[in-house]
Amino acid sequence: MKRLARILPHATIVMVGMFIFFWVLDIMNPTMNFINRKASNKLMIIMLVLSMVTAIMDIYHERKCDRLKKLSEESSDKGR
Amino acid sequence: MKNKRMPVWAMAVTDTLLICAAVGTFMLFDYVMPHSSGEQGTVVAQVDSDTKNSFVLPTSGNKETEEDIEKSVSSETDNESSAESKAEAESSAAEKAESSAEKNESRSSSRKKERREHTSENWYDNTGTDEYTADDTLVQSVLNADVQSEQVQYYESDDAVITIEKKWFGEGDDKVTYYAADIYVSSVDVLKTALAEDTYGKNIKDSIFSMAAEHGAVFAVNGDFYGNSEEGIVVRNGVKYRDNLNDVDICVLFTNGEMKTYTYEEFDTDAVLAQGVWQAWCFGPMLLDGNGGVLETFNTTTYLNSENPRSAIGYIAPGHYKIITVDGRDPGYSKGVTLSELAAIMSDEGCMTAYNLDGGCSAMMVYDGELVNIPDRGREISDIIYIGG
Repeated sequence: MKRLARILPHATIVMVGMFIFFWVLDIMNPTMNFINRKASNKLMIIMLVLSMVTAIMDIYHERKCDRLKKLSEESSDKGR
Repeated sequence: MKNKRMPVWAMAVTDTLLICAAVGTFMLFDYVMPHSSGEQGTVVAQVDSDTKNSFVLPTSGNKETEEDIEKSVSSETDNESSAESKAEAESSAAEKAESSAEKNESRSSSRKKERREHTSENWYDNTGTDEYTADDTLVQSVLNADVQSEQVQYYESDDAVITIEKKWFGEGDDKVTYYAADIYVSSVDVLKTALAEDTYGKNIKDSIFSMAAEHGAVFAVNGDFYGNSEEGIVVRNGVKYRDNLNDVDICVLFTNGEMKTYTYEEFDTDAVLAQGVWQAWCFGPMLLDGNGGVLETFNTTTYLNSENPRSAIGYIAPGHYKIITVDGRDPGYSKGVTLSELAAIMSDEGCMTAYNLDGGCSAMMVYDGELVNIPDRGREISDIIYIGG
């Protein structure tokens, strides 16, 4: 899980980078149809799923950090 | 054990390299590796016996002149022939060549005048800076250019008459050189197309020479490189392979010999197919308005509109077509042309309708198995337009 959490953001960056590249190429040469191809559409679904999972994991991680922070604050308060 | 973390710069470099690798793999898979779809196509039109040989071919005036010139040249080298006959043959050839040149010049100047009048009448206020807008200055510079020409090939058979001329205008780095094939066919099925490896599919490519040789083509030019795209109508020799539209202009050659160009918005697939489509290309953009006038705007981008080698097909009358190959990327010989200049060339050549085909390294014209033009490297292509076989 920890390894996956580390890899996922990079995979998302790679996919987004690819689509930025396609977008630039598509502006220059729309005849080549870089964005609307069948393969590009499949890649886009993968990118969307990756982005969703990365975002969910980020939210989960943030909430977990907040919870831990709160717990540690409470325990330090009790200690006093 | 402490988990060692990668520095940020190394992470950024790694991600960038990964993006490049992913794009490269995608390109290799989707734009290079051939994918045969197994699609056999549907016959949508046939040239029946009534429409066969329906167009009249021109008389062979040119051929006679050429033969005479050849005769005169051979008589020059013939040691046994008398000096008198040599002089006669030379003067006769020179006279014919001169009269032919005069005729061509007067025809060309009158056509140029008509075209200028036509474009000035219909021209619009070209003050916008839209990247899709035709450049009036460039159009006028081509229409007013002193175009020089020389005939490089002549072919005549029962089905077709082809005259290929090398033409050029401009000087120094602004020089433009192009090859104009004036084509007359006796029926529309003489103007054929061929797919690489005779197979419809994505990224299936072959050299123009082997395609021309396989089909016994006397004359061949590159087509629209349909194999680079998954969309756009493809009809070849009356067989429809696909009819999904993308946002490019469409060119249709009908079985009655007419050629029309359409924007993708106005293209009604069923209605057009019902009229008998012999060929349909999807590359573009279309260049002329159907009456020989340069269009006000082109469906293209700034990048695609830059000076490049180009190929285009034009329509003059049923059975009479022009195919142009403009060389480029070679300053001093030919700089290439923008779409505005190409449209002006097609208009100047007397075309009513014209359509841009694949260009760049693909722009190649072959006659009798040999290159006519000087392409920029050249490359394997998906399809050709040819005559013969």
